Amino acid sequence: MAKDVSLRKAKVFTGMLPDDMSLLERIGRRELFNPGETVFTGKIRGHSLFVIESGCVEVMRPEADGTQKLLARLRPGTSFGEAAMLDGHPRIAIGIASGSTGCWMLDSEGLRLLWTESPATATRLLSNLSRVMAGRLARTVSQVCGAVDGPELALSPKAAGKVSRSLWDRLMGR
Amino acid sequence: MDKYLPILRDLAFFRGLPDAVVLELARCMGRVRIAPGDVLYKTGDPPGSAWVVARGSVQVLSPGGRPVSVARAGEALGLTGLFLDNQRDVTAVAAEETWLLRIDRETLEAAKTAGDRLGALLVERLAQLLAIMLRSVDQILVLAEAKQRARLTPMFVPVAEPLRSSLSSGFTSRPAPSARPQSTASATNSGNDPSRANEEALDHWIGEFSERSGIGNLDNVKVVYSGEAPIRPGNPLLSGRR
Repeated sequence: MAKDVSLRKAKVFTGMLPDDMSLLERIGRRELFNPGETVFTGKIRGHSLFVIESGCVEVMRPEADGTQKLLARLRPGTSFGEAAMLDGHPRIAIGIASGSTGCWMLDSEGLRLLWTESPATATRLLSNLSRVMAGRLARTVSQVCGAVDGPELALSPKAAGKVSRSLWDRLMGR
Repeated sequence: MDKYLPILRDLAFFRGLPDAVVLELARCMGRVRIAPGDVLYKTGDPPGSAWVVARGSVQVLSPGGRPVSVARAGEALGLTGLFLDNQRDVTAVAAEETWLLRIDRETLEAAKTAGDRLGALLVERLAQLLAIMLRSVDQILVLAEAKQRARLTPMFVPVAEPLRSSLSSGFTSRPAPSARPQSTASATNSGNDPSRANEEALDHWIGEFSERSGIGNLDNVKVVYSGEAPIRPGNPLLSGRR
């Protein structure tokens, strides 16, 4: 199992004061998930910010054929769900606890409460969340630009192999 | 500033706020007018300000000079440059006479330091803009990859239906597409070829998404195919750790 981390070491809590952390501990909530338990789906805890304190969350995407594709393994200290908490749109991905997993969570209602109780703490948290999202946005934009400026279709031999193998498997009904 | 209130009220950035707060927020921001063809910033420029389009539109170009997206009224430009120290990765050029509201780093820092409600509101609205942009750009990559897959392997095309639902959920502020892509595409010129029909359905939806999101011409997006297809936040593909 992945090592536990203190909540205040998470990137989204950078620069937070002790008073901020006490407030966040009070307004947010902690939950412990058993191995294999659903941490979030679009409907369950779909609008919450998560910070993993211990264990690991596997993020899967449902595929058209009914299977689930593993997108990422998130370790302690990682946050996710910033956008879902802020824009209110549900997630498409599903999170499953891999091993016993502890998370700290804040939903949009909690954020509203934080905003009311301490605008300064809300500002610091939102600013940190913005920095995290800006980093992701920069990487994604760079990916889009790479695709726009890149060759018409850049297939690595390995990827091309996967495509034809996948096609072959489907043709053979596997 | 009061005379601009009707325009400001309509922008997503100010939506739902009392007029007095809209004006107070707008006063924290600079006003910029650019003529068609004026460059707001270009690839390699130092980071700094972000802008919200108040009126007009701005074309966003890749480092290679190809169109990536169009920012229209209410949409933001240069947000990453406000929060990160990276150089600008794209170029922004006015597509027509455009009015923008500028948010400087100094303004953001002042908002953070003040710790009052107005400061919190400014930071919150910026964070919401980032969340919307992140989701839009993320969806574009997923869709472009799906489109590429459909072209590569007709067997992949049943992805059209999940795609439809992801499109519908992507922008609740705008009406979800009402037409069924399968039937629309099939009714056009695809004849009896189901894979062609599906590919057209994908094109149709991607085109519509592109139109709705203002994220440019997807025909210019040439995806580097990944056999893993994991283009979501936290994905190693996005952080360059493939």
